[in-house]
Amino acid sequence: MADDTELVARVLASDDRRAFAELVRRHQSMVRGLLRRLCAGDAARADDLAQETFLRAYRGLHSWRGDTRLSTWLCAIAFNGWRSLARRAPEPLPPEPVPQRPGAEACADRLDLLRALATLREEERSALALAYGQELTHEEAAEILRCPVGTLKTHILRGKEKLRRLLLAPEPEGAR
Amino acid sequence: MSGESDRLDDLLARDPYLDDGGFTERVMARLGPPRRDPRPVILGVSAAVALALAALWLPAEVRAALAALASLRPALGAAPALVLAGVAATAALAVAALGLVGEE
Repeated sequence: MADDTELVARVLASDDRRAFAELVRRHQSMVRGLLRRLCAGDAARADDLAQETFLRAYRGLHSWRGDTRLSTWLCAIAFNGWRSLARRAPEPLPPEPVPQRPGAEACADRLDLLRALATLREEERSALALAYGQELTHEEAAEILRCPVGTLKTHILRGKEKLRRLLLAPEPEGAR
Repeated sequence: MSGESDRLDDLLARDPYLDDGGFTERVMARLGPPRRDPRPVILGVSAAVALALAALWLPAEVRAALAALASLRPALGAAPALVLAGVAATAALAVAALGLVGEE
């Protein structure tokens, strides 16, 4: 199977659409997953941004020099697209309040996590979205966020502390 | 506390694979038509320019032959040069045409 570098070379040399489709198929889950976290679970908004990410990547493919992984480069495009959109049009509030149920099912946990991410500050959410689940190193995540690694770690710690309070706090007595 | 931290780390690290579900097709549909390879066009234009320049700078007898050809009068003396120019022009145009066909 051709690696990313070879597929990119084919797209640049002869506008090989099959090669580009293979790149999209290969990286779509990672890009859409990142954007769903950044968009706090708004799947439609995340998928729109993911499409824009791949269109921008296609137009700017010649600027990828191969010194970073293609997935890291795509994450940077996705993140910058989300940030500029978030600044132009603020996100709607999460559809439901975050329930505090420590014994929830895995799927419910995931929905809770996405909603809880919406309550974090932009830099905390960004740091957590990039540093977890995308196979990015802290150095790569910090480069995308354009901040020092120490600052990234601070955002991660603060974000996790807030999430812990939201998601893992014991249910108040008499709540049932 | 450590158990809670592990659970949160696990929750954050878990990012399930998202099925494509037509996503790639939607992206490809928005790319627009494939880029045309400019090489055949460049070759064709170059051949036409080369022919025009050659017609201007060719020796006088060849120009006389071309003029004769234009007025449909045979010019036997210049026939070899005329044939050579014709073969060259046909070859250049054929290569350009093949390039255009190959692109389709």
